[in-house]
Amino acid sequence: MSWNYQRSYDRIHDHLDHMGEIEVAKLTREADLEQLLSETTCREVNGAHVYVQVSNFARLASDGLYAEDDYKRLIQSVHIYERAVTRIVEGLGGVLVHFQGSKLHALFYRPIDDYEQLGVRAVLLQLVLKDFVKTIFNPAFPDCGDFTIAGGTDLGNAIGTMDGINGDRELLFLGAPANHAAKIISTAHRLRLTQQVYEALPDDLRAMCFQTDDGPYQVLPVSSDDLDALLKSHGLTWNRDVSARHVEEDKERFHLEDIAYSSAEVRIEVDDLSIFNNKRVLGASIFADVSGFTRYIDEATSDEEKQEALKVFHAIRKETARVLTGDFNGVRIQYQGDRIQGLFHLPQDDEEAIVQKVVEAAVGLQSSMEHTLKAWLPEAKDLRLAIGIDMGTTLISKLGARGQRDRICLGEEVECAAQLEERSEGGQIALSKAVYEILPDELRDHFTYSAKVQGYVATDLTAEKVERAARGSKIYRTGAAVFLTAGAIGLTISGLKSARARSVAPGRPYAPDA
Amino acid sequence: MHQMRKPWYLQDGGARLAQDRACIAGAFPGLTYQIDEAAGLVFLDGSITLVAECGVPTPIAVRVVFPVDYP
Repeated sequence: MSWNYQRSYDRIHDHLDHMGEIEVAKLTREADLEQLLSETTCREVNGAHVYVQVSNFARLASDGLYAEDDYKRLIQSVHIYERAVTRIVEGLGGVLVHFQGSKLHALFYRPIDDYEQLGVRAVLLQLVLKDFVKTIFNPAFPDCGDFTIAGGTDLGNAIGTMDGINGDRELLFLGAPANHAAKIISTAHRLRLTQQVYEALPDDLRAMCFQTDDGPYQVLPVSSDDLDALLKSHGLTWNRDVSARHVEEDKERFHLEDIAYSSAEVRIEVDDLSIFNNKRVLGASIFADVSGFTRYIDEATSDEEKQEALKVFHAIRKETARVLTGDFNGVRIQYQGDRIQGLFHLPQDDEEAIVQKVVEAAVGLQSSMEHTLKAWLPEAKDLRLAIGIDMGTTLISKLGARGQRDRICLGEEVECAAQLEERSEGGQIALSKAVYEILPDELRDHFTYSAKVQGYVATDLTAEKVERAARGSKIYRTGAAVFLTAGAIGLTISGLKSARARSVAPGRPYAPDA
Repeated sequence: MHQMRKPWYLQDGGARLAQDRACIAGAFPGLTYQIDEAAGLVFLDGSITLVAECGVPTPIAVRVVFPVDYP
């Protein structure tokens, strides 16, 4: 299967036809967001978004020299970490949005519209997680090395929606705070917050923050005793001993001998995975982000504009998933706001075939974005896809607290693919050196090294362009090329190839009397 | 006395133009005939669409000017 214009065009039409009317209203009271939200029932939520990233998991997941028990211990530790963190988030009144790999995304929206309380909880969550990793998690898993965390939080209005069906349902938040909180994460140990959060904080927490050279504020570290005092003074509780006991109980509950992992000869069904059934494969990770979407949705002020923006979002989301899974037999791992994460792992351990497939899928994604989505949704004309790809040993599972298990894809190359995407601009596909070097020539020729992206980049590469270049290359190799060069005096026809020449193949040889 | 010859598209009651119209309508529905009666010229205007193997259609603007001594 490959990308096809008509198939893409028809399924977008079908999706739009059945989407129904989108309702966007302000969230005015507490609700079970997973029950309330849907593709068409969306809510504007004032809240503090928190991202906390933990080191080590990705590196350990890609370690090819890891002994079997060590790898099982890694899976066990990720699972227990996510369960423990979920309890802490909920204990502080927050909502677990999801884990992106080992990166937490949490939301505080209660008390409704109380920005000071929301900011306090978001900042204290970061401090609690730092304390938890240092005093409970690291001692409980000494073989995994010393974990450190880095965090970011932002405050404001984002639109909450829900995607997918059945086991694929995921909470999604669109808008600046859901995006910026992740973007301000810096190096390990640093807990950061935006100006909006800082301004909402009470004096005691403001006094613990300083502004960094690159803009965001940073929270100074606190001792465990000071943290306990802070929590108490703000009417919040986190019991370190209870957390430690839960971790120990979970270690007993999820024994290493019950944890299994294997490679995959057929496409992985992520929803079939669990702590007891994991996959470890050679896989190519792909991240595709809708460049310009946060600005697009933030600029939507009227109800009609918001509805239109959400319609565009859902159409892009669904079409990109179908390109990955339907057209190219990849695995959709997760939606992350306006970004989709996928994985290609077939044919098993065949790195050349996997790389070709994932790059073709990236070209298919760009084709849908530029040709079919914009044909149906001209209002999306300024939106582009930025795509990053890398390949390596990857752990895939579905881990975390019961009822809130997240699709997890861990590996150094997974993170590298995400970073390539983040450094790319709309319309670009960025590859790591490892992926670039094993691409077939006809695809590799489209990519050049970019120092800014720190990878190999192709811009505006669609299926039609790949096809046209392959056809031109074929004609050139047979020695029958004719080149038309566009110039100031019109078209120049010659047998010489130039940078601006385009090859054409005559249907039949020219003969005046033919 | 010299009699001016009819333009080609009026000769034989316009039979040739009708035949060409039918032919073009089937093969290139995006093209339409335009007649400049003052100049005695016929044009074929519109676009033809090239379709790539992946199905992407590319419309190309086209104008064919028929010479006065056509066909």
